[in-house]
Amino acid sequence: MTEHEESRVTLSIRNLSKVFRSKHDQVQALNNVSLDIREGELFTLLGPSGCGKTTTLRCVAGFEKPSGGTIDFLGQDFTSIPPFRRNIGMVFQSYALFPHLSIFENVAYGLRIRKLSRREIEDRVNRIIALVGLEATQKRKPSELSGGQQQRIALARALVYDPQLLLLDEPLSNLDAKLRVYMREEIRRIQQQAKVTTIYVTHDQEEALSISDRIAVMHAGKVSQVGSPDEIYENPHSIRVADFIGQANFLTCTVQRDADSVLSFRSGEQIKMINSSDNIRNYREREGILFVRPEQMEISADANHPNSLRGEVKVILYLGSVVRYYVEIFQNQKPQEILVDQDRRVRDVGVGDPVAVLVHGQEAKLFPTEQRKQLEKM
Amino acid sequence: MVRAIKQRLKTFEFTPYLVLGLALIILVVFIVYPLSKVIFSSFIVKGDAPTLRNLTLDNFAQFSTSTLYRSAFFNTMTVGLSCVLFSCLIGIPMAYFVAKTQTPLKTFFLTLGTLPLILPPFVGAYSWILLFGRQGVVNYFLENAFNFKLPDIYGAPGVIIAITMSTYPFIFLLTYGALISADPYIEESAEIMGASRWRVIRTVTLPLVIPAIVAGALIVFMRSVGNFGVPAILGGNFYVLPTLIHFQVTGFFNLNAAAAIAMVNVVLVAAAILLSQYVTSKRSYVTITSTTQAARISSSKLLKWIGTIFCLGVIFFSLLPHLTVIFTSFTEGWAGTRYPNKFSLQNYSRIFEIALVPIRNSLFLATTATLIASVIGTLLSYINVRKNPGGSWI
Repeated sequence: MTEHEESRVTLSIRNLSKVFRSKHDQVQALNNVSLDIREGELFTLLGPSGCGKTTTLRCVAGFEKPSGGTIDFLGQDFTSIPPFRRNIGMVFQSYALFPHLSIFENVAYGLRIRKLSRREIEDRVNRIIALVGLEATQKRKPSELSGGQQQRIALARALVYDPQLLLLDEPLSNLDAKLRVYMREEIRRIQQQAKVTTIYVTHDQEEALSISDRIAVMHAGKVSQVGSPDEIYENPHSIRVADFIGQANFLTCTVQRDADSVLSFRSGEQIKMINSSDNIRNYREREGILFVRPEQMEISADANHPNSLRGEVKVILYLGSVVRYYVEIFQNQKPQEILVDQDRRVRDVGVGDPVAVLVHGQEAKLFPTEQRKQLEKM
Repeated sequence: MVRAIKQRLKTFEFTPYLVLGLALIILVVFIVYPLSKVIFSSFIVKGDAPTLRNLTLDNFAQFSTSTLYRSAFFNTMTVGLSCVLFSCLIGIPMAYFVAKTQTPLKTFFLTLGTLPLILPPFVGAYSWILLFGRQGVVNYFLENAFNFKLPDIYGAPGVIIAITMSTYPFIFLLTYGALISADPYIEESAEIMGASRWRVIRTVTLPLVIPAIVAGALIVFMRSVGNFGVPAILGGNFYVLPTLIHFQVTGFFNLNAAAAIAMVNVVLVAAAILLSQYVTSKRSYVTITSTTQAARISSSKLLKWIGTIFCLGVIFFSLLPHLTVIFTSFTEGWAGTRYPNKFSLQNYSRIFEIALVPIRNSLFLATTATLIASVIGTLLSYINVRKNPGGSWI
């Protein structure tokens, strides 16, 4: 989404921190979080539970008072404005529709507060309900709607009064898998149509990759990396991000440099990295952890294939678009399982067969060994 | 043929029918018979033989001819509705303060808020007289010190105040429960859409707890229209239906008229139950969700202080009779003199001389009632759930 590169920053979060204090202890939920969110983009806060993503969102909404730092919206200091004057739309995980009001009144709630004329309220409600595709439900109560329908009404209710900012707090986590995929596309479509700057919170990395313009990966109250989905997936800055996003293999090795880098593994095997990435070519330390995505590897039925790691196929999973091989290799006499994704089944390879695993160097990366502890923590 | 019958008898389970038969007998002897006798006698004029030929509506006609009857009916309505109104005015804000603001001493308020339910309201009524009666300490003090005279405690105001002070906990506790268990995100969603605090309360918080308030109001109404002790002590010439029944029975021994009045009272309560069911059937919703987040607490310092003062005031005022009772128990001859002037444990030592029999009676009644109720209740519910012999509607 290069067009957003030029759009201006609307929401600027600087050094945000939040400490929750109780009688007995205190928890640092946010630690120096700084983010710039640009006009019209769908910005996702991604991370495991407890990483501070929801706290960040609630600080932006005004439900939590930051312990330090600033939240600046188009030059206004947000922290001094109460939530009900911030002109924000928000969708909650539980949807939080008003159970005592009809769907029409639920959606009209924000407009009634803004004292619009009766005709304009009707016009706007009808238009937004049509946008989410639920024209027939206006007179019903929320309890008469399915989860997916409630979710769309919650979205319509948050957008109907043209908020300056839309906040979505894990909006899909209460839906079943298939509906989740459908709804995330819907959210993207509606967000694009409404052209509203959006912050989206989720722990589901697949959801984040598919829907976002940019993602901030968070961990333990800090931002690990900010970037487009492609950058985050292909060029993670740390083992933590590499491990959290998608599937990844990590192999400890020693690096020798010639014209090409040669990686020696604990098993004694060596791989010469031809056409390797800049990262590998510029890696200056002796020890490293090789990071490769499953689809950047290849399986060969020829177990004696040069420039490869030998292993044994343990499991073959057919996933539809790819076939996933679980291959056991030996590192330091200890077995290690690595994942290899192939577009289709490799001929003459079955469970229990010895195989060779080849590494494509263009997308692989080397991380310093001290980052190993990030792996063990996750 | 005979063998087949024998076979069936062998496998036939008698226990459920035995227990059900027992329940049926208890029901008929202790509930159906007396109740139908009351209903029947309400249609017979005093002195007439209880036969079908003598059935008449004369007893009920009193409600249109006698001013005493009429005023008793309206007084009962006034007491019932006022008690509901004032219980709501006290209970709802108190529930809001305890559940939703930073008011301190929450467990204190919750515990002491239930206390008025324990003390019989008519004991409270005695204390009110002791404090605010014509010879009451507070009245005497105010009159002497400031030459200020409080309105008379006897009559409608006294009855309503005394009952309300013992019924507001129903509203308070039920509303508190509903406020605590409601999904906090619903209020936040209203707030983020632009609703100010007051608007959130008016359009979201209150409508969500209305079913709980209605349930509480119903209990308050039933308790107050059925209350005999308080109007008997504080009523004076202010008659309500229960005291009118007493008046008819002890004054004229007119059991038939008493039965008719009781019928009217029952109809009044039944109407209230139907009304509340109608109201709640339209708005019953569970907002409890999987979220573990506790109810959101307002950070306003102003509300905190208003809440603290309000709750302390209510608790103090409602427990005043209880405190007076405790206090009086340590005095000698108070209520005869202006101010209590002699303190001792004499009343307690006398308990064992004069009150031994009442204490024994109370304990005996409580124990046997509990025992019988739990035995029958357990048997019945076991049979009802496990065996399902038909006729479980009993």
